[in-house]
Amino acid sequence: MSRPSWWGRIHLGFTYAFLYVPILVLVGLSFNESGLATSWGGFSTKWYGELSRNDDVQEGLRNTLIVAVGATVLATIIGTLLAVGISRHVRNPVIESAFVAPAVMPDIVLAVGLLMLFTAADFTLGLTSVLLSHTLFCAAFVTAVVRTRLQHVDASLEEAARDLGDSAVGAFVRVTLPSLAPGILAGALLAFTLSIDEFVIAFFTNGPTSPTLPQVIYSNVRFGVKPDINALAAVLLLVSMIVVLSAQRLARLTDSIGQQ
Amino acid sequence: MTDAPTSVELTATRSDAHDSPANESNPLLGMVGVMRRFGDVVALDDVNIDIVGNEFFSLLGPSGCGKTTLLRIIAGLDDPDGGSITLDGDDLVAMPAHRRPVNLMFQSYALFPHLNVERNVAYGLQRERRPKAEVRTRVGEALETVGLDGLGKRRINQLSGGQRQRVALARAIVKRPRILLLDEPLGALDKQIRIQMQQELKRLQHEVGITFVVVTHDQEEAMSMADRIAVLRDGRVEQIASPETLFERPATRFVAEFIGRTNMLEPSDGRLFSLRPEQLRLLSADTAASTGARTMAATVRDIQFYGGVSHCTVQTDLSDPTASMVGAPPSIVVALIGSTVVRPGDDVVVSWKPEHEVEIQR
Repeated sequence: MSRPSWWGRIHLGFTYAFLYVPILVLVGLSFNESGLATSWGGFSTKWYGELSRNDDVQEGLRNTLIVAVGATVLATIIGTLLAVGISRHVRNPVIESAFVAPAVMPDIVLAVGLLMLFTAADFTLGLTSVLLSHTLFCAAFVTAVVRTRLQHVDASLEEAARDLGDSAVGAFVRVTLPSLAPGILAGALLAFTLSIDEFVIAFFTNGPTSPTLPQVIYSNVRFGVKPDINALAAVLLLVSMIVVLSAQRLARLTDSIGQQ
Repeated sequence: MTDAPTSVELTATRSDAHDSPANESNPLLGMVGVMRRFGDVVALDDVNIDIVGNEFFSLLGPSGCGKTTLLRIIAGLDDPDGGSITLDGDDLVAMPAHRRPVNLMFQSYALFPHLNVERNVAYGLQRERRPKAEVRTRVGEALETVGLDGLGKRRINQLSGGQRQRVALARAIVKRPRILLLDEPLGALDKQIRIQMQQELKRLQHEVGITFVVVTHDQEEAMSMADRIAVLRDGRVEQIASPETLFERPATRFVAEFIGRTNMLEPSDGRLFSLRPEQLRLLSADTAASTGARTMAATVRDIQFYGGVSHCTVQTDLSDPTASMVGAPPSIVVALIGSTVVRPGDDVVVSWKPEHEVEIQR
């Protein structure tokens, strides 16, 4: 790669500024003593203190983590099995790509559809219905990521394990899963980050007593942005950055263990 | 081949060459009427092959002839639609893949990327729940046999293509299978390493005393390694014989043309003869042929020099009144040792002995 020209650097600078200025403003304001977007009252961490005493936020965070962890576990299992099953048994190109629908269809369509389904099934809305709904669309993403990995893995590996005397289950657990591990891990982390900040589907499929964090933020913001929400957003930013960076690091690590 | 006109005094003959298994009543692996269809495509059509113990057997044919399908069926990774396969007289088809005393070396090697060399080789023994000490000893021995001692801790992605192939071999032989199946074992290697590995596979087979069944599309590879070869075409066995017999007495036109180069003679009586380029002699136009030899006037058209041997293509003079045989093709290939003194455009006489014309089925 050659170094960019001065023009290229300016271009790059403006593009990155466009992408990151809103986030930097947010992080900056979270340390603003005055709590106002219009005047700088000096550096302070007091809004982070406020945040830690905000029971609504604590409650929302707990609910969001329950949903995100549960949906990630279920979606990773379903998505991995679906990807492997499709690659082995499906020859029809329509069915082969139909799994992706929940990932690409507008959230609002999925949300309304899920609400109708839960209502029709007389399913009480609450964290369970949110968790199941998140599992649905996260599984589609996991499937897509694991399928990509499958294309880079020698299809004979599992047959080789069987040939060496392993049972079908043993070959799957000892050979197929480890060779897919980078894809499964990447899919799981993607599912987790998608679930944590998902709002539309949670808004439609959640009950009134257990709002997720995005719902808590939304109901707070309706009456004007409170400064501790800035602090919360900054914390979420930090968390998702750590997740993304560790995902990259892990993917590189497992890939170096894996093929190529 | 001892009287081939172009050969030197010492010709390679293998005394142990045999065209049928030594112990026909008790083959190690017996295949009778094996059938396999994929939809409308017949991959294997009534395949009958007997393979005896300690044999280096090759399944040879162009791509799509069914040789890999047959290998997968023997390994248990695919099921035949009909016919029977027995190992030491016991039904093999009913036995699941992981119970068969048969191991397959995959064309892609199928090494486990998340395990190091040692653990790849140990995989099969661990599935047999062998004691740790035994596993360690046998893995060490297997790595030594294939010349990889000291590399046990390496990751697969740190190995060269040749080393990967050796790991795949070690992983298969460490189980001490009755039969080792090898699918295009040398296909992924450079030509230099390939020739070296041909000899090594031969040596290995003697050393470990396991029956090898090698699938290949490369006739030179099959000829140089195998004790016997089954030539397959469109799912059918064309001929099963030693390399020497396949070359000297091909049963069908396909075999004659697939194994080495040949010239087809079609006399008017509807019969068909194969005449190997190696059995032909080129004489200058004014030389008298030896008694009893057939002759035909011809003109040199093209010479391909391969180093040790040259292939000289001559255009036959079909109106030659002295021609002692009719039915020669318009052009004939003659193999000559080393470089040649003839040049394109030279008038020559092609000569051969009648006994080298091999009649084959159409």
